[in-house]
Amino acid sequence: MASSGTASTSFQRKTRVKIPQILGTRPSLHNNQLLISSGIPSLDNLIGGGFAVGTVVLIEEDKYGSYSKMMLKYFLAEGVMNKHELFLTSSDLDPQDLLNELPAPLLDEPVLKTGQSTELTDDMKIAWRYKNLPQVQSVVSGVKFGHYYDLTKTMDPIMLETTNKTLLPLTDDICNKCGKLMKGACVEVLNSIQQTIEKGDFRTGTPQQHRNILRIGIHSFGSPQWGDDIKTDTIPSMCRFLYVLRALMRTTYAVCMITFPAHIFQDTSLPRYLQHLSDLAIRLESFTGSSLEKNPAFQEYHGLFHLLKLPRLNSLSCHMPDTMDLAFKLRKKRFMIEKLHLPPELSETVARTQDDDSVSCGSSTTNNKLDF
Amino acid sequence: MFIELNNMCNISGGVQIPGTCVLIEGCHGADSSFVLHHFVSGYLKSGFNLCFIGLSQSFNHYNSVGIKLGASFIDARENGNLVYIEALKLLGEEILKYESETDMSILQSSKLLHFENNNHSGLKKLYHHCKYCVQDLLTKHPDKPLLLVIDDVSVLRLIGYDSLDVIYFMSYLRALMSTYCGCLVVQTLCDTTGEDQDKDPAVQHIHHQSECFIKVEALSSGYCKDVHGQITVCSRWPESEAMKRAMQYKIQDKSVIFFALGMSGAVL
Repeated sequence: MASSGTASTSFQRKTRVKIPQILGTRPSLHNNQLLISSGIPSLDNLIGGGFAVGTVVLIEEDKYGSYSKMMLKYFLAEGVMNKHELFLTSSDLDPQDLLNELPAPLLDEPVLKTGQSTELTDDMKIAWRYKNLPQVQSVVSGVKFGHYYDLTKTMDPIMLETTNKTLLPLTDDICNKCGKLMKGACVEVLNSIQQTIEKGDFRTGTPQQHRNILRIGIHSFGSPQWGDDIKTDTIPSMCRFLYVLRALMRTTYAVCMITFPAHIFQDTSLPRYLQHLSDLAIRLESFTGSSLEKNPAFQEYHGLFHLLKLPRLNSLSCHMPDTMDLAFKLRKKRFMIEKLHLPPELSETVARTQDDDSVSCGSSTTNNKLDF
Repeated sequence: MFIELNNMCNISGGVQIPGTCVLIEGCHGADSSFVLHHFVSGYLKSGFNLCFIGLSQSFNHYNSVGIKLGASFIDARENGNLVYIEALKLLGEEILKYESETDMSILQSSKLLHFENNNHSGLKKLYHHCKYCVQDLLTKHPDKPLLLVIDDVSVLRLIGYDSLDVIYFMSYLRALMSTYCGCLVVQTLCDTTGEDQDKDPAVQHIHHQSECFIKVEALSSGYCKDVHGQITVCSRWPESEAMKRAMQYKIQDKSVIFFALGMSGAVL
């Protein structure tokens, strides 16, 4: 017994790579990249643990933009739960409204557990033998990676108050400006993000005591409300925005999530270009308003989830999920992503149509003796 | 590095003929970066001088992968074997600066970028910077052979350079390499959904100029966990027969497995 006790202490991972320990992050098993949760546990599993810090996540919106907005809300809510700093910009709606609609977390334990572990050590009576053993990394065990949320409730405004956030509503004044290489709104957003990074000291390379993560949400990037490109064409202008953003993210403790209404652009090559410049690309294809809505094969789901590009950072290979046939569904309380599978053949409707077919194949008269 | 890939490319001794160009084309849905890593770490290990223009990834990324494949970028840079031009960072910064700056004289003095161009000289500054880096490398280690790598030249097209800009830039680089007997490895994105669609003239030009053309594409039958894609190599090295070969591959943590079409262990 005693030997097993000592063995448990030596059973520690030998990680020499210095990874800053920040609330709500964990290192990737593949490449030591720091990951943060997307707020949707099923999505985290799918993409190999979470969003890698320093990447740009591009989400092609579904037709009405409702599910992509939900993913953005989850992403921000997870930031609030982990005390990450938020940056949010939108032209179509007021960022504050979006924040007010964040889903409430499902808490089965108190939110803050700091200080609790020290109290525990005093009244620990049963396992007295373990008292002298060094405490196993209490910081890691205290960090909770990913939360579950209840979509029926909204988040407590007090929790929102305590998070550092920068909101940039893209008003008409900003959008009517015009830049030399990009839309006026794009320039404004980039400058604002850069200021936030400088102010919060999120740059890599600078030593800092209290590291934090910046979560950047850009809602409906490039929608008509972002203003027109007068001097430049649409494609280079939008690509430049993403390129500058990518360059910024690479040296920052931040993750940027962009939702992008791909279907409103006539040029079909634009989404492909933007995917090329982003690290993780996802397309949501909602069944709402399409013929697939009534398709019995998809009756369990609300749409298809296309994983278009997975990040390949600091490693030769990238995470390869088992399948790319994925679908999402919206339950009463939560949004989830699943492997697409057909419904079981239990339903009466399917069986009955087959029966009808077999009857019609036979002769029309039922009292024929030759029938079998 | 990956011996099979060298065999496919008909490269003996792991090193291409000086003065030639290799084009790596990644189609949509497949990632061709493993081929680039193969060349870069292989050449670095054989003691080449390396000038790297990183337009799509950061230095740290290449260093991490390089260490996995046995070639440290940091060591090479300290030894003076490697110049890494952080084009992603520099271009990103300069686009932002260009937007906010109103004083034209400051813009003229910027190091790399030159957007308002009338005579297709937009990438002239970047070229001069490369030339300076190459000459610097050669003064430090004049006895070693030279390799110039461009990681994703298609980025230049995406951020708004004219195809003629890119063609001129590439032609100048090629001329530069032939004067110093250096090799050129270029990565690009192949953006054609159908077969009939026209390619970008800039890509077509590089394709025409290069002696070896490597195309990486996703499986036409769809996603598979055990077969990551298909690689086609067309080589036409001087004084050897032109060859075309196709294989399928699976990328692993530190290596890549190649197998003949449809001969993956997962299928058989």
